[in-house]
Parts: sequence; structure tokens; C-alpha cells
Amino acid sequence: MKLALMLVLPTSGAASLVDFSRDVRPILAANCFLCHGPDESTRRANLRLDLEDHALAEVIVPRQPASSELIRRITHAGDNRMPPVERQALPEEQIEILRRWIEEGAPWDEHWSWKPIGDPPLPEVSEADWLRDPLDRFVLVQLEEAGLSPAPEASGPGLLRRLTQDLTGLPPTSEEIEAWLQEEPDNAYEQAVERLLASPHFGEHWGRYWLDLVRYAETCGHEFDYPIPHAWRYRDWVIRAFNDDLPFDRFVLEQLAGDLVKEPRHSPGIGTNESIAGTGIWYLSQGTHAPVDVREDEALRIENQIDVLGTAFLGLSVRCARCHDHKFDPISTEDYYALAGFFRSTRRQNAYLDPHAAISSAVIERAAWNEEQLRRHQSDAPPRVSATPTRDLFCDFDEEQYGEWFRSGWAFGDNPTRIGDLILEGARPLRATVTAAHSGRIAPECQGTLRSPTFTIEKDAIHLRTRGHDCRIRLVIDGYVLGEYNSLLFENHIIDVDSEGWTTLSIDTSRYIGHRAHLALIDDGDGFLVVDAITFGPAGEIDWMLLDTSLIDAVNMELARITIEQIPPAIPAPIRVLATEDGTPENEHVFIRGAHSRPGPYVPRRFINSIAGEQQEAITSGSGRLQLALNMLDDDNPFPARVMANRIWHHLFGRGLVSTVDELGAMGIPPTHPELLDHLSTRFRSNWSIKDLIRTIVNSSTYRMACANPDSRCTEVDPNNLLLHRAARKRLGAEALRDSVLAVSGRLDLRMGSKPVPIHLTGFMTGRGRPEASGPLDGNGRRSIYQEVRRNFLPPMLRTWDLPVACRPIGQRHVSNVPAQYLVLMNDPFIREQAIFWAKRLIEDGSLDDHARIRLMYITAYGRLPSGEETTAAADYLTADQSLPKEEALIDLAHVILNTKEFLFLD
Amino acid sequence: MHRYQTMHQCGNYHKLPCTRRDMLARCAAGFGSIALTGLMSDRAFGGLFDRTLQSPHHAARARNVIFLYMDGAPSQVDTFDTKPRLARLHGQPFPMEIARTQFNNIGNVLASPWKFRQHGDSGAWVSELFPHTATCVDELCIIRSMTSEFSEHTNANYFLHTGLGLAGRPSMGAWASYGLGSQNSNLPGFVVLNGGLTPPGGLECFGNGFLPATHQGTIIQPQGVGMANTVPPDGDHARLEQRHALVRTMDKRYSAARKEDDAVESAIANHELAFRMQWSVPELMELERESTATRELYGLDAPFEATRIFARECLLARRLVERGVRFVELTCPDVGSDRWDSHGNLYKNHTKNALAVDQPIAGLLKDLRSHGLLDETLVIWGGEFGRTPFSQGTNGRDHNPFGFTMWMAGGGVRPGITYGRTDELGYRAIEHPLSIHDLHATMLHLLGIDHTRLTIRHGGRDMRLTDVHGHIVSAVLA
Repeated sequence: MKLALMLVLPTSGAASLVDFSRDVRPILAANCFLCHGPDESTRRANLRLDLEDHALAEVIVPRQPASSELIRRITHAGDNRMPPVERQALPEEQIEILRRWIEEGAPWDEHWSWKPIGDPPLPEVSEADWLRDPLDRFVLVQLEEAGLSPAPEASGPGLLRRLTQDLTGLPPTSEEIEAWLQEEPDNAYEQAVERLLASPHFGEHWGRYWLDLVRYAETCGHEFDYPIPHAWRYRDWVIRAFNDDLPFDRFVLEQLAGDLVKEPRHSPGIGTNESIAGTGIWYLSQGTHAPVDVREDEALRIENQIDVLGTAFLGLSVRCARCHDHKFDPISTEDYYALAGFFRSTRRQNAYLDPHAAISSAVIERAAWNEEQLRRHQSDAPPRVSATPTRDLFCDFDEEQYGEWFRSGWAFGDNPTRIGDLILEGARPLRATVTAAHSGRIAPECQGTLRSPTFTIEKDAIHLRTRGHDCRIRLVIDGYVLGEYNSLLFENHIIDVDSEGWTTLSIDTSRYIGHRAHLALIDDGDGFLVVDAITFGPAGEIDWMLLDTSLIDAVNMELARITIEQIPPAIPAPIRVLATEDGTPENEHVFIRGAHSRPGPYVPRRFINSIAGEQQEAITSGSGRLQLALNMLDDDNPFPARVMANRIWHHLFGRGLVSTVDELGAMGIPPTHPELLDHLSTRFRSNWSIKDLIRTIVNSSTYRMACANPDSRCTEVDPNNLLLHRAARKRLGAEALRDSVLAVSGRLDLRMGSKPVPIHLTGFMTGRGRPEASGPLDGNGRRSIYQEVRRNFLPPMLRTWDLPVACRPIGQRHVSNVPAQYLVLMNDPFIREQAIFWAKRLIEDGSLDDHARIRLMYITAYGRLPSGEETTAAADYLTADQSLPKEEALIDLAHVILNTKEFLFLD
Repeated sequence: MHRYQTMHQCGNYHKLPCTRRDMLARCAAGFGSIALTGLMSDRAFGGLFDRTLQSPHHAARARNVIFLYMDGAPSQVDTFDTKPRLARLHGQPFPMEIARTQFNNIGNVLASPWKFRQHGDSGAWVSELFPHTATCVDELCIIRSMTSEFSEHTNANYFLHTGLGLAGRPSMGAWASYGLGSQNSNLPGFVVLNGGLTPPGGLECFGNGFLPATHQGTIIQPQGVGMANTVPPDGDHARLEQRHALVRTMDKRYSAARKEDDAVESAIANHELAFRMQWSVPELMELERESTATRELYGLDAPFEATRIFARECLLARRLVERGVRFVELTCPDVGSDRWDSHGNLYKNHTKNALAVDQPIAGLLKDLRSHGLLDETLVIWGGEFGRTPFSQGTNGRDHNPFGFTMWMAGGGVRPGITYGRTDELGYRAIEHPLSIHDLHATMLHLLGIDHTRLTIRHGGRDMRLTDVHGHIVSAVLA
């Protein structure tokens, strides 16, 4: 049995063996790897201390510390000391650890987090009566070895309050407290656990943790804070996933490749493809409105995506390998750019969803009807009038199929129009006289987008021969899409099409020679768009006819008219979600020192070699994200299960078993209970059920401990409670605090989901992109997760209480303590408004006298009954100032309660 | 500088914190450290908070910083960097190779519409845009060779404030507060006096990033109540005191029953601070108590409204540093058109913006001097980049990150010198070019902080204001 004693008691672990992973590697990583680690570019003296054979061959003689160059150098008094003299020398206790480790034979070990998840045997313990769940053994054994006992079980309704807040971020209702107080059956606690796990508010609380990890926001920040359309649908997807207990492996899969899964889930409510909505995760980042170097902007966007992937799913700082091989973990720049390729091969879309398949069936019906009309009017086939330029041609849709183009939605049909196809343009039925991409080929109201394969811009202009109305053509360069809001550097890259007859639309690409780009033909309304041909050529007028003079006369020939009766009913409009879409497969270069201006060799798309092995299956088609997800979730990858199990522990105990929840690599802090973490990870991975793991933990004796341990030795032996000799006294998080205020006042509106409530603006919230109108002060009483998340206008109250800025993944919020927090509680109009709301409700209930009101207030706010002394004090307060009307005094008392620490902390 | 500073980049790992009790005991008195106490008691793990300095790394030359942020970027060739050759070439094509500008609407050489004259004993050149500041040139260290890496406002603002061109990193004021705390238990360590214009990038320019929220810039508006939530919602201080007395009693009982849990105790301590701020902030805002001479010095009653606003900001800045606030940043008032961002009509734009800030700035420098505060207060003036010496369109100037002017004064800076040089047309810095990182390193150095050693662990790395860059510019040190 290995102990965590070294961690707890750096000076008194003399009896135990030094553990390489726990004690030695952190010292080497911190002090030596910069010059003697994985990154070749900064390696000195050709020495590696991250690899056993190197270290043993060069500077370590097992069992002989005095003969080991390592010890000689770190204890050297002169200029030859390591680390170099400019840096601090190793403290004596660390030198001692290294010395003892060498004395003990210098046993080497892989870094703990890269090892497979074990299933350690259950430890034997003395106090078996304390145990409720096998996990308790792992906690108790370490306590017993340190000579400590666990704290007694938390008693009374305080435990219900803790549990309710931990599972739903809301306080228990007064009814729940009353019931708990009146009759506490043996299994009342377990029943409460089941009720809370089944509550729809569970997902709102646990989903919010996940939103921190994906830097969730609904605007882009920067100068104008442009919107991220449909972002809130991802937020609702996350909440549903937690409520439905979507297995975590599926949760990961759908975020990586929900658009590609073979059998997508269907949302029971709106009857759309549920899986694809998870892929919105990749497009929630901040965005620059006019990047002078758009390729660099793409590199930064991808860095942020890789950061989310690495941190949220793996707990590894993969992004560090953008400029150099990771300095502490086996992650190379090749690994980084292999991942970058997945994102380069993926495009952002607002996917078209089909509620209850109503659109697809209407489309099938309409297509059949179109066929029928065509059959009936077969003799009317008009001549072909398509323009077919002979030079600079990119595409003229003359093939049977769309080929390498990507279709989404329904508008463009399965293939380009063929001569003679019947097409309804408004109420006017026509026959196609060209082969073209035609978004009205099924029906004008039918929506969809057709995207070109990715190409390199080599000429000064793109010309498109088009007609149509209420549609757009868009050029997307290096994946940059914010040009929609600010065209400063992308003028004319989005063109609204509005022309009855054929016209040429041109896009100036002269500024972007050499960049990768694609075209999108977009029909998101009741209009239609026809694109006959596209050329890449010099700027200036283009005369399509000169390209094929035989067609001059045909071009303006009107299309044949057919008489149609009884057009079938209109095709319904789709629901849109922010999502990924596969584009042309694109590998990425290794950028030398992270600079895109210095491209090295291409790296094929693959997962991280040190996790998935060197022999990964080659990706042969598409972006490969599905393959990426399979590699990510492979049994041989220990990270996703470990990272998530640790996150769950962190949220329930206030600290993870690995306290650096977002960093499980060499720069992280090793687990306090490594076997426990593996035990939980093994159980978690058996069915990937988040609710099962939470149920297991909150039902354990470990979770149910009180916040105080009567044994005074605990604070000496384990001052930071690393051994878990008691429960942590947690403070309500930002959202839980605001939601609890609303719940207590009675203003809380528990409606779920849908578009965010506009942010309430104070006079201190200034800057560009400020919304014209302020949202309601009380956010309509809706939970905080449904308040608008505008990057440049975050809610000041929640920010004060540590709502993070949505830039990078955050798995662990600060718990800061600043006066501004109490200025909010004392003076913020929202708090005062809620105190008034609460007091008025209590006054309006004529059945209550002062004592009954005080009792109810204690139950609602603190989840307990007031003592006699407390009741008297409160009652005295209500009558102390005779000049104050009863209602005003009660408002003040309500305001006081919202200011007390008991309201803020959980026992 | 030391070579290893640029070599050893991603992660100067530091040892784990000692015990929480040690940490608590170590904390000196003061606002920042009390906040720290709270943090520690809540989160005495993870190695996050042990880098707040117990004492400066070396003797500090400045205790406070006032950053006069010129939003939108003033033109160097119209303010402090005289370029007679522009007048000779006026209207002709620009004779040097031009890098892509943001708007790329490149016109001809544009002479400055303002005359330059030498001032003071130092003989520094100042244009007639700044007649008041010109009387203080012997206090100034004018740096004509600043450079930035971005020619777009938001990126450049984030870069100027945080050392990175994206949102999410701590602002320099937050770093100063994190390193040194505040010297006043009733006021925060980093205050932003918001004159009306919030720079592109929003309030995140003043954010705490991954530092504890204690260090985010607290917004104070120069008019009205100043700071959010410092006045009781019903305006009734007597009732507030009654409420607070009951809160105190109830908290005391709660804490006693929990053996005075550190987390609860530090929450109570901060609540008490907040309670006191309801008197300290209004007292701070009482500019009416200042003498007529002081009012006139700053221009508090100037005819131009924007001057009056900026005068209040400057006077408040003096009062804040007087009270021990570590870092004060001033943003520009709305002059009725745009901030310094003069893409068109340079003359009107710069005339108004200079009129707004010139007298208040000179007043601030003189007032700090007469209060004996200038020697311990570092004053920094400048924008996120400069402007092109050639025109945008006919009468504007586009963004120019390749060479521009900032100046410093006071705490530890060599007064009365002009440092660095741009080319003869004022386009690119060619002598002693300074990066924003160098500015940050020098600023921290003056505060007694080694910029390579003020770090916080975040995302597996030890982060610094200067990232892996930055050199102290010793030539500008007194």
C-alpha cells in the first residue's frame, strides 16, 4: 500500500519508500525538463532526464548517490550548479528526495496519468462499520495509516441542503425541509439522492460546469462583440445530455463528430437530430473582426479548439506543442498539427434540422410531384443555353452529380438541374435550360447550402454566372466567417443575389492570393439561387458569351411555360443549429516555432501518438473526426475517464483527487488518492454514466462527513484536509448564489431552455457592441444559465462571484473573496428587489405572524429551524424601529438574511 | 538581458505552497492580503496563490502607476516626434516601402498641421497640440521608438494591456495588484477611471484573466457615485447600519459555531471592508473640497466639457494614489466625435482630443510634484499604436504599429530625455525600438518586481505579464 504521506508531511515520511511518480518526477519536470526534457529545440548537453535509459546512462548511478553526476551538480557550490545559477537552487528536502531515490536503486516509472487505469484491490481497514461504499475504503485506509478517523456524519437538514445544492445548484424547498424534519425514514437520504438525480435542474447545474470547460459564450467579444448565432442550442444540448445521463463516451463522441455518427439520436421534443448539436462546441471562441492576417487568425482559432479538446477531454495542455514539442509531456508539434488537420478539414455551419422529418417527407412528396409534372409535359424540352466558358473554369455543374461539392439542407437537390427539369420559381413554373446548381429545383421555399471543395486562391477574382433572389453567395477564406458582420477586410465576399435575369457576380480575391478558401451558395429563405458557372480569373468584366459564342442568342430565351394546377403545400422551414460539417480533407503543416509563415512538412491527421500509438489507421476520407473520436475513446486511452471522474469528485468535494483538474500531465499535481481515482475511473468506464458515479459518491460515507472533525490532531497532521478527514465547507458558486436568492424570494421561474434572457445593463457596463436595450433586472426570474452570455458585457454580479471570462477552458473556478462581493449583497438593486419581493410575499400571507414568518425565512434560506434566541433577535429587529412600517422592517430582515454567511456557505 | 529568460519559457515551475496556516501567517496586513487570506482559506491547494510577493524583488522606485491611456492611438508625428521632412514632401507619394495597413487606402505624405517647438531646459520637441504638457517636458521621458505587433485596435489593446493580442490574460494593473496588493484597506488595488469611452475589446482590457478576481480593474466613473453598489439602495445609511449590525451578530454566531472557520472569517472581514467602502468611496469623490487653485490647475471648470471630465479623472487619480491605490488607469472622455482614431479629418480629431487631455495632464504632473507624489508615482502616457505619416484618404492617418511615441514621468524614470528614434519620416522605429513587453518589464522593474519572477500557474504553465519576452530599458531609468 503506497501512502500519500510524502505529500502531506514532507519531512516525516522517513519510513516510506520514495515513489518516482509522486515524489521524483515532479522535481525533475519542474527543474530539469526545460533543458533536459522532450523538447529537442531547447535541449542542452544532449541530456534527457525524461527517459530512463538516457538518465541512467549519463548521470545516475543506482544506489550510489555520491557517484551520480545528478547529485553532484544539484549540490555544487560554484558555477556548475544545476539548475543554472540564474535560477533558484533546489531546496534541501528535494535534494534529499533525489538522493534517497538513487539510494533505493533509482526505480523508474511511467508518469502516473499515462498508465492504464487499474482496478486496485479493496484495502483492508479497521473501522469497517463506517463503510457504505467500496470507495470509502480507499479514503479510510489513508486516514487510518495517518492515525486519524473520519469526521462524524453530517447531521440534520444541513446535509439535505448540501446535497440539494451540489446536485441542482438550488436550495431545498421549505416543503422538502419540513418533510425532512418531521419524519426522517431510514432511507430518506437515498430517496432524496434519487429525486435530485431525476430533477431536470440537475442538468442545469452540472451543465454549467461543462460550459466553463468549453469557454461558452453567445458573442465573439473583441471590438464589436458580434453574436454567435444559435449558440444557446448547444447550451440546451449540454443540459439535456446531463439530464438524460447521456453516457460520457457518447457525450464526447457527439461533440467531436455528432454530425457524422451513423445513428444520430433524436430529440424527443422537437424531433430533430440531437447528436449534431453537440458539435457547436468548436465555434464558441472569441473572434476578431478584421484580422489583417487571416491565416494567423485561423491558427489562433485552431489553437483554441485544440486547447478545448486537450483540456476538456484529456486534461492535457496539448496547445503547448504549437510552438515546440511539449516541454514536460510526450506531445510533439507533429501531434499538435496532426490534430490541427481535423479542424482545418471541418467547416462551421448552421446546420438545417428537420423537426419530426416533416421537411424530408414534404421534399420527397414535392420531388415526386415535380417528376409527375415533368412526365406530363415531356415534349416541351427547351434548348440548352448554359454558358460553358472555356478558360479559367472552376465549375459549370455540367456533371450528373455535385461531385466534390458538399450539400446541406434540401434546396439544391441531389444533383444539378438537367435540361428540361421542371422548376418552380415563385408561382412561375419553368423548365431548366441550363445545367446548374439550382436551389429552387424542388421548391423555392426549400432551404439549403452548397459548399465548394476547398481551393487555393491563385487569381485576382472569382466570377459567378447567376440569377435568383433572397439568397447569398459567400467566400470563406481560411475558415473565417465573421466577415458577415464586418466586411472591412472582406469586402464583397458575401454577395446578396437579386437578379431576375442572368448576371455576373464577382469577388475580388487579389488580397488573398495563396490562401485556402471555399465558396458557399446559400439559400436560407423563400428565394432561390441558380449558379450556372464559376470561373477564377483576372478582375474586370467577364463576357461569358465570348467564351462560347454559339450560345449568345440562347441566353435570353425565356424559359418554357407550363400550366400547373394545385401546387402542393409549402415545405416547412428548418431549425438551425451551430455545428460542424466535413469539408475537403486538409492536412496541416508543422509551423516552425508556431509561425504559419514558416511552414514545415505536412502531418497526416491522427491522434496523439503517445496515447494512440505510432501505428494509427490512416484516415482516407472526410475530416476523419469520427476516427478521432474512436481513438479518443479507445480503451487504451486512460485520460477521458480519469479526467471526468476527477472533475466530478472536484465538484462534490471542492477539490479533485488531482487538484489540478485541467492538468493531469507532468506539470499537474499527483493524486492524493491514486488508487481511489483508478477505482472510480474503472467504475465510471463500465457504463460511462455520470449519474451513477455521482450517486455512488454522494451515497458514500466519505461524502456524508461533517465539515468539522472533533479530533484536534487532524489540523496538525492533515491541515489542508488532503486525506479527507472531513467535508470541505463550500461556498455557493456565482450561479447558485443568484439562483438561490431567486428561489428564496419566490421569484424563481423554473422554465427551462430556449433563447437567452437579454443581459441587464448597468451604467458601468460600457463599450462598443453594447445592446441598445437593457434586459430585466431580475432576468425574468430565470436561472442564471439562461441569462445572455455576452463576452464584453458579462453580468457584473456573477463576475464578482467568479464567473470566469470565456476565453480558455476552465475546470476549476477561483473562489475569490473580495469586498465587491459584499457590496453587491448590501447594495445591488437586484438583491434589494428580491428582498422586497420576498418580504411582500410573507406579508401578503395573512395566516402568518412574525414568529411564523421568521421560522419560514430560516427554513427557506438556511434549510433549518431558528433557535429560540434567533427568533427573539429577529422579532426584536422587526419591532425595534417603531417609525418603520412593518413591511419595511421585514424587507430589511430579508435583506439581512441574504447578506449572512450562513446563506452563502454550505455545511 | 539574461539569455535564459528567453530560453526558459513555458513553465518556470515553482514548488508547491506550504501549508495554509503558514500562508495565512505570512500575509501582511492590507487589502490585497486580506483578500488573499480569503482565497487561501478557500483554496489552500493547487499551488495558485503563493506567488503574491511578500516583499518586492528589489528596491522599488515607484509605488504606484497612473496610466493615461490614449484610446484610438494619437499620431506620433503630430505630437512629440517632429518630422520636418514631412512638410517638404507633403502631397508626394510616400517614398518608403509601405506594409499593409488596416484599411489600405494609402494616400500621399501628410505634413503635420501643427507646429513643433522646443521646450524647457531639456529642449524636447512638443507640438502646439499640447501647450500645457509642454510646460512639464523637463519631467518627461519621451520614448519615440515604441512598437506594437498589431495594427487592429482590439488586438493591439489587449496586447498593450495584457501582453497578448487576445482576450483572457490579466491586465497590467491586475498584475501590479497581484504582485504588490493595495496599500489601502478600503480601496482596491487596480482602479480604472472610465471617462466615457471604453476601448475596443471592452472591459476585458482591464480584466483579471486567470488571476483572482480581487485584481480586476474596478471601474470608477468620474461623476456621480463613482463606484457601483457603494450607496445603499434606499439611500438610507442609518438603515444600512442597522441591517449591518444584525448581519454582524448573526455572522458572529454562525462563525463561532464553526470554530471560526478561515473561509467564513475572511468572508466576514471582506464584508466589513465593503461596509467601510460606503464611506471611503464617497469621501474619495468629494472633489468639491479641493481648493480653487487646484480646480483651476486641472481645468475642472474648463469651457470644454471633455476637458472637465478628464480633469476630474486626473484629480481622482491623484487622490487614488494618495490613498495607496496601486494602479490607476484613465480612459478618454467622449469629445463629441471619435477618440484619437483619426482615419479622417486628423485636424479636428486631434485638436479636440488634445484639448480634452492636455491641461488636466499638466495639472496632474504639477499637482503630483507639489504633493511630493511624483517621485513615487510612475505616469505613463500613450495609445495602442501610432499613426501613419502618409494619409489615409486625403486628411486622415491610418494605424501604424511600427513606430510611435509614449512618454513616462515620475517614479524612477530619467526626466527630461528623449529616447529612441523613428526614421526621418516617422514611420518605423530605427533606434532603440521598444516592444510592449519591454514597456511592461520596465514598468514592473520600477515597481520593484522582476518581470520574470512574477508568475501564476495556469494551464500547466507559469504565466507572466511579459510571457517569454521583455527587456528592462535601463537607459530610461533615473
